[in-house]
Amino acid sequence: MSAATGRSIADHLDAEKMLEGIVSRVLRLGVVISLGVSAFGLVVAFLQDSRRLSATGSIRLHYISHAFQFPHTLHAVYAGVSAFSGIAIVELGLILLLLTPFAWVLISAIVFAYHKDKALSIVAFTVFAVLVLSVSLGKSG
Amino acid sequence: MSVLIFSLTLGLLCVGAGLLGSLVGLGGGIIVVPLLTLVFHVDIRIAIGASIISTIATSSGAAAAYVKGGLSNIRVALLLGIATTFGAISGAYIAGFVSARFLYALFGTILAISAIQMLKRKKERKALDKPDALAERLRLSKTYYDTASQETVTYHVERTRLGLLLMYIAGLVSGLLGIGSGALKVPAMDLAMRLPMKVSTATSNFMIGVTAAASAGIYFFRGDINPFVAGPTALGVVIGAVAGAKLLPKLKAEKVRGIFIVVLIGVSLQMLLKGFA
Repeated sequence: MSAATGRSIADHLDAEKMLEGIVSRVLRLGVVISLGVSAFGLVVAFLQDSRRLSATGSIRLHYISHAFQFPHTLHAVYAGVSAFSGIAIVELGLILLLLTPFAWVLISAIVFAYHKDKALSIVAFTVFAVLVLSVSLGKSG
Repeated sequence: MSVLIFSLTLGLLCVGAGLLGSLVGLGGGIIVVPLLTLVFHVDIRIAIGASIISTIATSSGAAAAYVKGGLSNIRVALLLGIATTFGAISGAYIAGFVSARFLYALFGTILAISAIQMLKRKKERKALDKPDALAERLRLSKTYYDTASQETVTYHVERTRLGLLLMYIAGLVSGLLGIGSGALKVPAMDLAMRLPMKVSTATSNFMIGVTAAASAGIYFFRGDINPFVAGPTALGVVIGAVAGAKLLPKLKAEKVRGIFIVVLIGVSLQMLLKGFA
């Protein structure tokens, strides 16, 4: 083995160690922030509509069924959050949670590309592309 | 029962689900969907939406710890992630067309498979001498420090293509039922690709979040991620999972496992009954 390849392998291992550290932090941060936002949104939602949401009886079935209309497009969530709607804030938190895996996949793609690990960088970018595809497919119905 | 009481009760029960899930090594999804449908009579699609969201949270939380320990293999996770995400998209789409009864029947079947898997003893097989060509090109071999035997283990990967195919199926089931489907991912890595058991478990945990994210988007835009169901579920399951990870070293996991297998079989039968009745 030449000195050059020896160095490049060591370089890759260092890159992986560093990447593991970053990914670990991104995951933790993503979960904490997104769930924090959702919890806050739930509290706001119950304060905003306490009369109906604490009413007993069959009204509950409405809120937890498909009959209940809540923001489920990016535009509606944005509009809802701007108007400080608790329900929209819950959905915003859940979107942030959904995006957490997107973040670490993109970061690893960039880190692998930076360290000239072409094959893995292509793999990571492919996974990211599929994730983006899933969202655009969902949006178009 | 008001929406407020419903959300609080659900959140608390999900703390239990997350706790139990992390103690026995399964994600919360497999407990959450039966809880929502059988106990709270929530529509199975809304239950699946809530479960897929909570799966991202628990997987990411657990993975944060595993990745740092060097036990999960990021390269393997990313490669197999291509297959699981495609599978998840397919699954989430199919879920929009099939009947609720079909979903119940499939869920019951997966629960039964999980129960059988838990009955089997997990044992390490001899590591491979060399990787297959694709694994070599992508440098999937890795080493980890095994705390039990106190030595550094080097492992290789084989049958990478078969692994990819099995992962597509695991992703499909995950997208259809809103579960992590670790019960399918772990054997694909452990039995087919011959990764060490501990690495398979840690890497599976890591991949579950990516897989779930690929179908969660579709469920979101379909309007299946209900704030009063998915919000409390995700919060509860994560709190439970974190508590479980702290408690795990102090508990006799074997006893919990035994009880859990019995519960799994019982719930499986109930779901199958709803599917075929």
